[in-house]
Amino acid sequence: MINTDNLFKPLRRGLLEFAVLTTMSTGRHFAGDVVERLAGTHFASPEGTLYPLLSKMRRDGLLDHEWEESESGPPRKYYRVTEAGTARLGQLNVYWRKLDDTLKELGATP
Amino acid sequence: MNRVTLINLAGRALYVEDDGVRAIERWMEAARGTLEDDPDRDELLADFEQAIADRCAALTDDNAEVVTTADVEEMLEALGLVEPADAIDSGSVEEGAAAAFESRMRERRLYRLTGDGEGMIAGVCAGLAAYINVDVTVVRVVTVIAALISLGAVALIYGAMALIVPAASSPDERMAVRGYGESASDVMSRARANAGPALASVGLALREMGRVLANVIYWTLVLAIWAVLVAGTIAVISLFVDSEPLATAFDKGTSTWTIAIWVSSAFWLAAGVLIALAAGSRQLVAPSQRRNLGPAAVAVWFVVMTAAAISFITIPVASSTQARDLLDGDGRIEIFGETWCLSLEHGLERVQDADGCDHVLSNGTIAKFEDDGHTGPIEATTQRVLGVSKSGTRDAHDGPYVSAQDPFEELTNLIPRNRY
Repeated sequence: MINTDNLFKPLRRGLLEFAVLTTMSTGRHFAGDVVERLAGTHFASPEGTLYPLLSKMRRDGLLDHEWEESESGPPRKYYRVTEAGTARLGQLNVYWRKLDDTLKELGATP
Repeated sequence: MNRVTLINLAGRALYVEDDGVRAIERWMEAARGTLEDDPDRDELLADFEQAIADRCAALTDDNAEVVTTADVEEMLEALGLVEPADAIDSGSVEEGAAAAFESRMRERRLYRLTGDGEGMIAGVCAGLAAYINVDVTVVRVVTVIAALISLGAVALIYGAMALIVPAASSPDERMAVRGYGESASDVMSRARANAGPALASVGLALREMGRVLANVIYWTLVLAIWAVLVAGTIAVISLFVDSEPLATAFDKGTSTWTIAIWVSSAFWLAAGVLIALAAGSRQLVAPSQRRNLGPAAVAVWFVVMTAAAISFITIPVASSTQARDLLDGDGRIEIFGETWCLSLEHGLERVQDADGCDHVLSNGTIAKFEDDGHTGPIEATTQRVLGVSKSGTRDAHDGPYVSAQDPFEELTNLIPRNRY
């Protein structure tokens, strides 16, 4: 039942950057890897959505990319999380927990 | 059977079916449009191209030599709709952006539909009808009525469109006319659902009417196109006027326009006859002896017309400049064995013509004299005045005449054409 629920689509989209940063934090990734990694999760997104987002995050300084020669075709582009990106990821993690805690508190019987 | 094109996608050579190639191009174009404001647009487009190439390569590694259109469609489906980063980043569900991409993908393009059961003449009406999603008969009827009301102007527009609008030559292009979202069967089924039996019979009547009217347009168009060709040739010929050379081919004094009309009509008539002969010869001759006379006919026509054109162009034209050059000091000019006097700088001259009538030759007047061997300044009384110019006619009794035009030009007009 992944992603069939359009109801929460805005929520997922808002968290997409968070998800990308988290995925990227494990090392350097080819853009296609990220698509594959997210496929089958709640954050599954096609290239059409992810590529512009990656390039935007790079412009914002959260990601950095480097070119590497490949056996076939032109050089490949790999993304890496920058320091600013790591810092942002930290903030997001903290904030996410806060949100989670707040929601739990709100739901707890007084 | 589908045609295949070898394309270079991100440095990889791939065999892709033609419609698939167009689908990729369309997708890339739509992406380019959607990412218009993205500073990294070109880089992103390269990335997308890379992604497409990778997927294609994965397909061809497996089993197939050729990437089919279906493969491509599936692949593009997987790539998804291109969304500008702002839309994602802001977390809003930008349905608008996605819809814009989709509509870019499905952008309708106008083609002429010339297949069986589509166009009647050049497929312009059929193409337009598909493009605006209206029954073709309605478009045809409107076109004929418009052509009649506009006195043929619409027929000319039709002709222009037939030349400019490309004909749909593949299923992809046929789809593009209708918009990709809608297949022909979609349109048909919706039409069936909407149209009740009553409407259907009206439609049938309209269709029949349209068929008759379409025949009328066909012949109107053929005539119109012929008329346009003739008019165009006339215009070209009239560029070469002073068309005195043309006039020599006919009676002197025939108006340039009459000649131009005659010549251009003959020109296209000859072309038409030759083309008809070429076309007819294919029907008449037994299949075993059948030869295509088309190229031969065109060659003959080309040679004849080129020869005619060269002969017209190379015949000398007397221009007013030439007349000026020929004028000697005493205002006398000899052209083609006739002596003319041009009273230009000698002030008023009184001359007497053969019938004893007096003429005052003022500045700019031209008179023709029968030369008695007299030389020197104009002393016309010693010579017989045969004519005094007035608006290009020569009449000894017209009396004094002061030409308003350039006298040299007037002189050129006066020179008998049959002396060339």
